[in-house]
Amino acid sequence: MHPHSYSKFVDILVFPIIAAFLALSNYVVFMAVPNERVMGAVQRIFYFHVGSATACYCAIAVVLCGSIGYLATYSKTFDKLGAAAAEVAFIFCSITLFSGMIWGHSAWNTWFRWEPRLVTFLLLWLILLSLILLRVFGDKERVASHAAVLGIVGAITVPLVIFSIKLLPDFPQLHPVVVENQGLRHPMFVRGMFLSMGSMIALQAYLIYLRTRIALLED
Amino acid sequence: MIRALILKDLRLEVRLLETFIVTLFLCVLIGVLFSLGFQVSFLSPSTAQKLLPAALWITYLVAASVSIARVYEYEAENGAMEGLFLSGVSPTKIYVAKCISSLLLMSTIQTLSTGALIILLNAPISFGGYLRLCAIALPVVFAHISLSTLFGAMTMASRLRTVLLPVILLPLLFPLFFCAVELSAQLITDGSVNLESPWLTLLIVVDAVYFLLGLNLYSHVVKN
Repeated sequence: MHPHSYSKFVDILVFPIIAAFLALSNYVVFMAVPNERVMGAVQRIFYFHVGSATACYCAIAVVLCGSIGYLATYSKTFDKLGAAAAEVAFIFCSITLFSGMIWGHSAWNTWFRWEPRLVTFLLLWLILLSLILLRVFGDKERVASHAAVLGIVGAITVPLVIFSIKLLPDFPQLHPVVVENQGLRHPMFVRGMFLSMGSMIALQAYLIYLRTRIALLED
Repeated sequence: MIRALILKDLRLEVRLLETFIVTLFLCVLIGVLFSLGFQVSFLSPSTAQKLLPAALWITYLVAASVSIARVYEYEAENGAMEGLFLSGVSPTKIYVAKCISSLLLMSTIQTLSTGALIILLNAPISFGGYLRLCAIALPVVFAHISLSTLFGAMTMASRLRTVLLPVILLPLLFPLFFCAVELSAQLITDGSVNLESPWLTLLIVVDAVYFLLGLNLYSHVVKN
């Protein structure tokens, strides 16, 4: 299929599907899911918070694949894919941090607490920001290979960051462990969570595709 | 060949002493800021002991990340790096040589700055404790050097190289920072490190991962 026909196919078919998926997940989150017993309506931020976090991890995986692909083939497509995925991962990481702060303030009257998952995402945010800054301020002639190297090192550092923060003994466990403690008893809570996760991942994939396409067209 | 490259870097540093003096001075300066900020005169010895690991490693990681770029600037200024590649030396050997020479330099600086910080924070650490702190610093400095050698080459040609290197490097050093602080705290309070400690395992993993990444990716960083 010609690339132009392929992109038309995506625009005509895929975009409406993703838009419908997002609309459905928003409907379920705001209309179908009951209010949580303790936090009330504020708890609905959870669906965007968890969905954004999952989408961020998926985008980081795409950064890793794009970076390895670029170093293996030196293909511009992989470079643009890695760059697009880093930007999208940064956006979803920011959404996770800010939604977490809003939720934290409503639930525990604190904007930011040194709690393992929030700190993990803060460190991820810094790693992704450094990747974007390298693309902006790095050596223009070799920025593609440099960003690919940083993408690989950054993506491999992510599990090290998560593991090391889990080992820290003094962090107060403020983050509600809703799934492990069987907090989502009503079936609509579970459906809402998986729908919002799925819609965020689909949105993330589409945004990466769009951004890659724009970057390739700019060249 | 690696030995020749190591001796070249060390000879250059011994003759100029630029990186050594500036990094050590920066460590002492940051240590002074810590001691003034914490108002050390009013701290109890046990509080000073608790603050020492974090102060030690913040000082070293910030000072070293800022000044390690200078190691590459010598070669960038005179085209020496291009000359090295034209001579047929493999990038992997250059990476290993730079890691070893930087490790010798930075571990010396770390040893001296540890002593300076113990004095500035007035922490009650014995000479044996000081030596043990220097010993546990070696694998931490090695992991830092593995990454900074890789990224130092990357930022060499950028106009913001002095600022860009710490910006890229420091976020990746958080797992290392946690290991360093926790193991140093264990050494200070218990007198030894528990060999089954997950922090020691994580430190070994971080060392291995960062060195292997550097070994495999360095050629992509320096290749035109």
